[in-house]
Amino acid sequence: MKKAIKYTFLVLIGAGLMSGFSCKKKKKKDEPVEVTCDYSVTNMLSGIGNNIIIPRFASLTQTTLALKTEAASFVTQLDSASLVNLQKKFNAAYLSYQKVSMLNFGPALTNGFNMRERMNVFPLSVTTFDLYMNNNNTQPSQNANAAVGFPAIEYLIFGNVDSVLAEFTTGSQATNRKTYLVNLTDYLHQLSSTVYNAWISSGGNYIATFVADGGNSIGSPLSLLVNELNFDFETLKNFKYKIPLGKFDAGIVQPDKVEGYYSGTSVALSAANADAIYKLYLGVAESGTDGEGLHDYLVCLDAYYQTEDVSLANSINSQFALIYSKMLAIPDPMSATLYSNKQVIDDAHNEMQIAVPLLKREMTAAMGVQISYTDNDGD
Amino acid sequence: MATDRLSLSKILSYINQEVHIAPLVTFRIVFGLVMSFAAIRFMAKGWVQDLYVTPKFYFFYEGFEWIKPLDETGMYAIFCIMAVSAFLIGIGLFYRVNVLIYFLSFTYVELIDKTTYLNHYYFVSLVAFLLLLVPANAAYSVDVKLFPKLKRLYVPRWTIGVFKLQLGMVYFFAGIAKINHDWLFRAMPLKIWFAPFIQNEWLGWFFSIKIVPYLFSWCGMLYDVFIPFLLLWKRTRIWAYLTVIFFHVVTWWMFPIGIFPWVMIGSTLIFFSTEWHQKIQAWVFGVENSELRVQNSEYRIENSEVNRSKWSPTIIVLAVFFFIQVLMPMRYLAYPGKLFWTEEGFRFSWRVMLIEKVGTTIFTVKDLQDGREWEVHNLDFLTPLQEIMMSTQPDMILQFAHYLGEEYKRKENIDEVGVFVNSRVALNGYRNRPFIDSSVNLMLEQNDWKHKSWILPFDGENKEVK
Repeated sequence: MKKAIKYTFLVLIGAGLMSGFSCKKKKKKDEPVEVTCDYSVTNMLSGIGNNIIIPRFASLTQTTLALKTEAASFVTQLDSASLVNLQKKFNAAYLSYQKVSMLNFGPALTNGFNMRERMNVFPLSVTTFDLYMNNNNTQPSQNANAAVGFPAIEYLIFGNVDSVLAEFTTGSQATNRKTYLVNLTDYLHQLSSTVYNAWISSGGNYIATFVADGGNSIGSPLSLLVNELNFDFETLKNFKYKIPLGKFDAGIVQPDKVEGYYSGTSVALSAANADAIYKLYLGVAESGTDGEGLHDYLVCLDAYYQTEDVSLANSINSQFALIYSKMLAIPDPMSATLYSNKQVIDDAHNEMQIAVPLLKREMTAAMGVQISYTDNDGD
Repeated sequence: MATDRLSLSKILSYINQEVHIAPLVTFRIVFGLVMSFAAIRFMAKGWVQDLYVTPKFYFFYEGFEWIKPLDETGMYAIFCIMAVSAFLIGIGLFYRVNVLIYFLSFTYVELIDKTTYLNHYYFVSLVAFLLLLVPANAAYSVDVKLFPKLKRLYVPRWTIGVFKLQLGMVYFFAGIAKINHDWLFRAMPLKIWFAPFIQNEWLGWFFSIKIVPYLFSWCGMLYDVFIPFLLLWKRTRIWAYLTVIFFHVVTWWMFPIGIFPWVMIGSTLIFFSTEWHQKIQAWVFGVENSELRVQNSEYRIENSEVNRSKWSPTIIVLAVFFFIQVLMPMRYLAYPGKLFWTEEGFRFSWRVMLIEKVGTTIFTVKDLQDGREWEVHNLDFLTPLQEIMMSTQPDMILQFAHYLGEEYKRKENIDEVGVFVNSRVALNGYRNRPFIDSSVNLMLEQNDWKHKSWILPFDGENKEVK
């Protein structure tokens, strides 16, 4: 009896080992036979943290400083040349925000504010905004998310095309609008530099925490990065495309709900956002050098249990490329294109839809990053 | 015929033979205390809130639509009742009443939402039911202190055997379920789950060896299939038990499976001999040489021929119970298609850790008369966990579709509503593929025992054995 069990064990284990070898033989020629996934997540995080995240926040800090400075000079010289300069600085800052919106974790949450909510809740609530202006509520830190940040500044300086300057000079809210513009841009810069300083090694040194742990448990740097990347991608798809397209509203387009409604830069902003998510995924540094990113880790993981001809990593790559090219095919302002050629917007949206299972489900599963937070027994 | 009857009566007299109660007492104490801790842990983790208060919609089990959650206070009260009754089972105070309370409260909570279905919760419900039928409080209990008449040192063999059988079936069927192509020859899904462990500081080198997931798959299968027998056999028992500890501690370390490993490590003690349990109990309770200790006899010989071969209602109930237990894991055979893909006959079958399955599901509600259509933002109605669980399980997709249909009908004044779903699922390392027929109006489909023809076939190259 005992011997019989022993031999059964040995035979079955032997068969198991052989099955492993035979599987390897079937692999295509261009792949190394002994594929062991040898990859350091901490190295990847170090590259992402130092070469992508910190430079992006540094850039946001600079562009918001430039915006703040320009706003301060604008209110002393209210003419159209000055306004154009201010609008340029605004667009630059808004574009640089698109590169950090997927980094809403760590210092972006733990310094007494939620970066995303304080900087970019759109569409702006014009009602709330007017209420603030009429009641002298010009302290952004005390105002609601829906009337602060980029959308509020945008409304102030793009608002009504014909009367922007008049609102600052002769309008009934002129004084408050000037004060609010200065305060809003100052607040935006404050928040940016707070996050930036919390990241850098000479400041709060969150970078040290970020690169120290290569694990995938809840709250680990990898988990935060992957979860926020997905959250931002969902925001991009839902808030910047799906809602304006009227997908939740019986197909009735909602042009006033686009991001960058007043500046008319919706497509440029969303393309910058998509590109920034893609570069983070690839690990492309702000300097342009290709480093290690989630893509490289995924290549490694996928090779480990490869089952299909097209790897998950490459499927994601080609999908991002498609999304980006479809976005560039949309003419700005999106709010007008929604009426003139809704289909091109829908095309970009559909490509994003295809990316969701790849990014949100398969990639997270491959990396073992949990979205579920209770016990499970794998079924 | 005569021999048949003879062997049946032999079996009956074997299972009714009186044996010492010691293993049952250990089982009662361990189960009660662990489950009491589990209920408290559940509350402390905030899961009562997340799973039974926050959701707006619950995925009911067919036939149990009438089971609804209570309000927040009510749900916390239920969990407190669970914690207290389990503790009282452990110490053996008002045992039968508390087993009944525990069984009902635990099972009630499990029936609220399919989302939270776990095999080990099902196991706990079954064990609680079995505890209802046995006098596990007849020794080392507060009941015996209060009502000395209840004291009983010998109990029918089946009162202990049922737990061994139940545990054995859990392992055995879990093992049989592992005999499939994905598990044995692709080492799926262990390969996926092991891959991130290459980042582990101490054991990364081990998990980066390609053969490791295959080794674990095969050993896991063999372990599950053979462990009940190795635990039953005296000569292998201690070694088998050590592997029980090893196996469950490893899974506890690697996966978020909560207290289940400890439940199993505690429960399988029941396979140990009466003497072993007596020794442990004497040591724990400090009662040396008490009347509870019986030397050198596993069962009582006097009283041996008294009516033991008789059927009793309890025995009949148990026979039916275990017969159903055997049928449940087999019912998938009645359905066409790949079991892991359709999940028809998947639950209540001890199919543990067999699949890595993820999906996305987009619902479209249509007014079939005027053509208006709405895409549904799932998270307006579901919690993230519910969305994840729903996305890979057709019966849940259908339930949610029906709910959405009714909601939109009311909200948007629709006479004739259609609900369609665009769904993609990735299973065991295969790239995502369409899951549900997007041309089917799910409002016209029923959730019954019949095969769901609107599940698209898994057309991949997977040559699964089953």
